[in-house]
Amino acid sequence: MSAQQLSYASLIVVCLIGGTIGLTSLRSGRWGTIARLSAIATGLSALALWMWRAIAAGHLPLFGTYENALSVATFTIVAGVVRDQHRRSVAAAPATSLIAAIVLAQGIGYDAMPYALTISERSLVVDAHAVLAWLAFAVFAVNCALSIRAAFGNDDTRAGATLRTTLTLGFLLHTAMIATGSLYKFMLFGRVWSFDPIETLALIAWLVYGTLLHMMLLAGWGLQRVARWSIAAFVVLVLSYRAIVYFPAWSTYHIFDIGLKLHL
Amino acid sequence: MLDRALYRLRAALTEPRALLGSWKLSVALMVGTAVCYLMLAAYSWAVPSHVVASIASLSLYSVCWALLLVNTFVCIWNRWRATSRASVLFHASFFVIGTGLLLSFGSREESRLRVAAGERFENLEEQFIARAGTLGPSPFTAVSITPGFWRDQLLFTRLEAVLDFDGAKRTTRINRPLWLSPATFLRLSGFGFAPRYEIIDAQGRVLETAFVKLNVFPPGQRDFLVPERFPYRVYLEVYPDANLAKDGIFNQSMNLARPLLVASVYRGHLAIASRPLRLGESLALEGVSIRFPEIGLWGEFSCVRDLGIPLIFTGALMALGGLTLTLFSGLRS
Repeated sequence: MSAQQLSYASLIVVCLIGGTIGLTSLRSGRWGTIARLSAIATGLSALALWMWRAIAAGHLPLFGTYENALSVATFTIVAGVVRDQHRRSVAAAPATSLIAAIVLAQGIGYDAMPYALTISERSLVVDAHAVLAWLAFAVFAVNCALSIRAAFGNDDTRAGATLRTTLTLGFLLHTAMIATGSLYKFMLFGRVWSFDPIETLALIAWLVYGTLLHMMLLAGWGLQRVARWSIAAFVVLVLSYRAIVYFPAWSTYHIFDIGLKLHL
Repeated sequence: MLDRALYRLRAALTEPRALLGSWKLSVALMVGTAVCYLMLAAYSWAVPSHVVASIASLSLYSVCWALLLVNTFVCIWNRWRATSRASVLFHASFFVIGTGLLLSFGSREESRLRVAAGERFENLEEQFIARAGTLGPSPFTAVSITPGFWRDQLLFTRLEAVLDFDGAKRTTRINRPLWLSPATFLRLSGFGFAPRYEIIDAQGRVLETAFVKLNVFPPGQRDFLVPERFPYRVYLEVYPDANLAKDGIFNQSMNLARPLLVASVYRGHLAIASRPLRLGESLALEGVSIRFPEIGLWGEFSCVRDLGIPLIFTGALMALGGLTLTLFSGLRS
């Protein structure tokens, strides 16, 4: 196991510890400062590891399940920390750390060798698509973290507005992610859509969040109801992002693990 | 809970006009569409992608989208004054994207052509692999085709072609199309080896020579050529950077550094000769011999005309604009 893989495995442990301290602080109302500091430490560790990987690979960490998991987890942790620092509270970071730990745990089993980007991944459009995907996931993860709190008895009057903002921002980023993916698909294959499973799953997640936004804005759903359905929608989103690697390699162009697929 | 839902459904169905143009119908249609695509995702697991594409083109999916569009239109029409401009912009984008997709479905054309490095493309039928109507780029010369690989692996880190359009040199890559007009582009979509063969007599005179564009990439793949004036079929494998050892051929990289061609010559079903050849080495046949003095590269180019594309991306920009305005108006309020 290389030093980088060891650090990757350590980050999972750091996320679990940070998340547990945060959740304990939320339940008991104590250790607030420790929880905030541990969240910041987790965020900085994730960022450092992510930058180390980017330098070692010579490109954004977007190639293969290992790199993708690291990027998604880093953006998720950092989004939680930024949100909490902005509000000077501990609300999102514990849950986002635990979500990141699950994502990292999925990635650890895959090839960790830093590969050069193939010609089909060398484009600013791909970089924009990947960053938008990570940002969308991170914002929806913050939404899910706040929803978990709201669904189980938070009486914060600002929670409704925060859920609405994170849902709208996540939906915007998810839409932009689909649009840039579609643009790059057109540049590569001359088609904007081909029902690759990754496209179908992204469309399903888009429809699910679109439905949720309609229910929140038009049906007058209350905070707790929106929160419960946000958690369910996030499960769909996680599947749409992370389950593609369990599809057969021949069914999609979106599996980048060299061990699973050689591709142009 | 089920009783209540069924009661609501019955109430809605007794007044279908009230249902049309309502957010309730939109939500029901979105959930239904999501379920349909969930089934499609499940199919993707089990069947090849062209079957998935066929399933996706079933009328069930078209009906879902058509109903969603009709309902959205009625929604906006009925609540024009009460709807925010951001929401109108976002929902109007569906119609622009929908029109673009319909146009794309009805008018998309694609021609594929193969041109070797140094060859002039003249719109000749034999230069096309597949041609849609008269679709093809204006004449050009392929100045160079350059692949690049990562270490010894089959990972392209570079694949580009420099094309000369009557004095104007332009570069295209697999992910950087050349725009020939707003809805038509040309891009490099593949490449292969084009060895030149020579058939020579006992005195060393060249009786026949030509470049042949073969599908012999990646190394180990086999293709054949048929000389025009000789009754042979020559099967070839090309190893671009090979060492010949006692126990086999070891290819070290994908770069054309030390090419080795494994040639097997047949006349009918009769095997005449077979042996690995370096460039310039000859293989004796029946009174003549064959050799390969050089290897060039060919590129496969796709020329696509799709009138729906500008509309689809205009629609995407509208959707993003609408959502951004919604977000900022939400933040302000």
